[in-house]
Amino acid sequence: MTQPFLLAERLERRVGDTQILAGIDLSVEKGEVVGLIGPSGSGKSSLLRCIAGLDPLTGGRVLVEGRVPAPGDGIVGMVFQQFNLWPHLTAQENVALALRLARKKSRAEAADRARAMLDRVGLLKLADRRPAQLSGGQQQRVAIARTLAVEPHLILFDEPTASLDPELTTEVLDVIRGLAETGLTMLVVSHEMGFVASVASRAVFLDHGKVLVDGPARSVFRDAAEPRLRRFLATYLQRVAWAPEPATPVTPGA
Amino acid sequence: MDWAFIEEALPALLRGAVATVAVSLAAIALGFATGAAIAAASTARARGPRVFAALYISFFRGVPLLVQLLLAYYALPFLGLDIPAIVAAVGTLALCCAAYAAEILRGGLALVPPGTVEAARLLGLTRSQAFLRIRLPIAAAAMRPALVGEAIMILKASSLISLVGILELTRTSQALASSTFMPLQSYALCGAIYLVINFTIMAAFRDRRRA
Repeated sequence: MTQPFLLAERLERRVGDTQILAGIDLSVEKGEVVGLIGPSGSGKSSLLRCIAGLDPLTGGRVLVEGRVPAPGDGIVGMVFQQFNLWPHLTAQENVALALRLARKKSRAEAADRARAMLDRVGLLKLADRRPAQLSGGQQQRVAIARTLAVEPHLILFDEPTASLDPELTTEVLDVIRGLAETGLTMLVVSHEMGFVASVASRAVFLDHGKVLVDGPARSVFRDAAEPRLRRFLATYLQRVAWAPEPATPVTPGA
Repeated sequence: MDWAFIEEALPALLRGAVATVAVSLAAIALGFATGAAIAAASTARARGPRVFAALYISFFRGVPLLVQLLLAYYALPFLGLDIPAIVAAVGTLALCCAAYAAEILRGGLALVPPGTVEAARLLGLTRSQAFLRIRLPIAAAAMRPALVGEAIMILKASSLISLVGILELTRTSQALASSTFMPLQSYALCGAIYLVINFTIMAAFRDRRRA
């Protein structure tokens, strides 16, 4: 049997008396886009942090490509809710720094690649701005470019749009959607159900540190047979607000 | 105050000012370096260094600098250490500066969002790269006003070492006041020179980007 690309076995994390992850089993194949959904405190972010090697496990194991991931090895990339750009560097420097220090590229090579990455997320014009001079959506796109630049084998998105308004959310989600289509392996934690349903090939529903549902995204959202998942998804229906009709395009010559 | 007095007094006062600046720079450089070590000790995992740092910081912040200087001046010979007064004076200033610098450094580093360092590590930076290229520069921007303030405090506090016989700016103006019988003019000039020095420091380390 071949080893899956990402394997979590009986993954546990406990802090003091709180069981944050209570025995997670998850395996992900190369090229899969997995959406992680669930209520706040269900362990979605903790699971990502354990996979990235940022938080220690208290039981079980995580393997990425058969190895225990550790920060510093550059295998697992992560895009954070709070962007975590470096405020003292410009957008271009944010992307170029790890290329120079960790990927040992020359200053010129790193700058070229950084500019190419910023172009890919539509921000080449703003390459010389500092994070404080960028909108939240632009900052998150820089953070995505920074992560892509070092070519991690797995990218974790930890609620990448949770601190953005709906318009900025759309611009960031469009970028992530574009990545999903390129065959990158990604785990996406998001409360944007429509986005998860349309981008993820598979959806995993967590509650109280356990995987309750794991299946193809389409059936997880359409059928939602599991009662806890049903209640969770039902709350989203109550949040659909009145919205104006989309503007009718003006036909030329009319 | 007439020009003849200024012309006569200025060369000596400037020599004193050079001594003040030299003593202060040495104390600040030593103090910030020692402060970094104390800050590291105060955040160490082991209990020993943390207790040492806490005691160190409370002693040097809790006892007046003048008393510390007098202690160093009288205690070191008593202990059989034949250390020149100037070394004892600069050393005491530096140790005192270190206590304040340690608190500024510890606080500044604690302000850096941990996520910025986590992002750096995940992108492949080593621990020391993440500290030197990310955590320290972000903290430095936040600490700059406090560190400049501490440098200025030390420069002014260096006037106290005149009491243990070091011939710096304050001591020079005292001598000038008693030899010319013009204390007001002497101390006014002395104060003006301190002001110019400190104004230069503030201007040199002004945050240009925020202006």
